[in-house]
Parts: sequence; structure tokens; C-alpha cells
Amino acid sequence: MSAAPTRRAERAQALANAVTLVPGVACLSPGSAVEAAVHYPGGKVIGVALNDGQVTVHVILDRLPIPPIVEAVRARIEDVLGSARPRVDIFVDGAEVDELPRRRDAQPMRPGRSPLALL
Amino acid sequence: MRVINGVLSLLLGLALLGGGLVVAVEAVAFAMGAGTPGIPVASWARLLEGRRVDDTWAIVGFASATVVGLILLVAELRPWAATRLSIAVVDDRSGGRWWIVRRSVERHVGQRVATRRATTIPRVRLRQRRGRWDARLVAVTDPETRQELEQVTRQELSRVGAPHDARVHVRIRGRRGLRSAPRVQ
Repeated sequence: MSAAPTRRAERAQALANAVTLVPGVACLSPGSAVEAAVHYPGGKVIGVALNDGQVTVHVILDRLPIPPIVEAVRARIEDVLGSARPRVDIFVDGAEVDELPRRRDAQPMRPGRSPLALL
Repeated sequence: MRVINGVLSLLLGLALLGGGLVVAVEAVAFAMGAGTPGIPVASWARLLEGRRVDDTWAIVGFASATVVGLILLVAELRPWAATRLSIAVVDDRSGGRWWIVRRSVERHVGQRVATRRATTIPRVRLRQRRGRWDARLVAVTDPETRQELEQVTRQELSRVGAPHDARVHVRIRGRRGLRSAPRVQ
């Protein structure tokens, strides 16, 4: 396992990078009502929220079945967090496998392009 | 409900904006000694002073406000369908869970069922009660395909991670009327 980053934004970025590399994850999503993001001076990491003892990740998937993809996402998150064991909540904000192109250079969605627009 | 809340918020905002502008104009006009230009406050006051509680217009106004208030109260308190469905515990130690957007699953199931048998995209409604999924599907197709529709629905629900004890209820709407199928466990 890799060592857990000490800084909050670095940890969020590491989580985002690891999650987007999971096969089946099209991109990260900002969520619906309240944007899930970790802010830092000059920017933010969209799709990841870090609170006390809790990690929340929002993803959009481009293939099925979902359970193995989510398990892989969870494993990647644990790899990044290392010995830390916070509660990990994973939100699948979209599974429009018939509409999403498969892409490996996935980037976090911009706030203005909420996946709810797909629904 | 989100749309209604948005519309009401817009109306409230416009009302507050209009009221604020009126007050601002009144204040500036009063400060300049111009009275209340264009706003017949005195006639409004006389109109209200001449009204009684048991007047027809007052009663109609009270009743209308009460009805609208009750409708809004019931709409807000009504248990609306959850936007996300809880699927499973990710980590038994931390209690973390994973969730999926309900409408996304409904659309996916509907499209997959339509590609198999139904002539049109069926209407799919998903609910979750005490952790158990309840899928209701209405399709316009041949009644003899009901079993296949149930099977496809279960397959797709399984692919998105739905619990194995999910209930599937298929209703077939044919040209000759409505036929209902018993709930399938």
C-alpha cells in the first residue's frame, strides 16, 4: 500500500486519480444537490469529499455489472488511504452505459455539467 | 417537488424584489418631500379599513390562503421517492455504503427491456422500502412475454447490484386493455 498523503487536498487528488483509473469508471461526478469537492487555494478536486472519518466519492460508470467496479473503486481507495480506515461511501451518479462513450483519459466533470443532466 | 420549490422560490424572490423596490422608491420620495408618487397607499388603507372579517372577499381570501397552505404542507410532508438507492455495505468495519441514482437505473432497465421484447420503452418505477427493492414495470407488448420481461428486469437489476430479494412486478398493457400479473418473488 502507498503511504497516505498528509495534506487534505493532496489526499483528495490522489483518491481522484486512483478512482478514475479503475476500469469502468467514466469520470468523477460533482454529485447532485451539494457539490462534492475538496477545495484548496486556487482550485478544487471534484467528486471527492473528505470529512472527519468519512470519505465520499461520486462516480459515473460506463459499463456493467456495477458491483465489481465498485469493489475495485473501494480497493483503490483503501490503497491510497493506507492504514487510515475512514468510512467510505461510494455514489454511482450515473450508469448510462448506452449513452456514455468509453474513455480512459477520464477527467472530473466540470460543475456545470452535472450528471443529472443525463437523467 | 424540486420544480415546485424552484418556482415558489422564484415567485418569493420576485415578490421580495418588487416590495423592496417599492419601499426604496417610497423612502427616496419621502426624503425628497414628494409624498408617495404613483402608489395609492391612502386608497389601499381606506379599502382595508372598510372591510370586515366576515366580508365575502375576506372569507374567500382566507379560504384560498388556507387551501394553498394545506396543499403545500401535504406536498412537502409527502414521502417522495428517494433519488438514490442504497445497494450494499462496502466495508463491514467502517459501515460505508454505496448508492446509485434511482432514475439512472430506471432508464437503464427500461431501455434494456425495450431492446428485448417490448415494442416501446416500458415505464419502470423503482422504490426501496426497508432496504428491499421494489421494481414495477409497465410495458405495451404481447402478454405472453411477461415471464421474459421479468427475467430481463431481474438480470439488469442484478447487474446494477440490486439485492437478490428485489421484487419485480410486471404489468402488460395490450391493445385490448390492461392485464395485471401477480407479484413475483
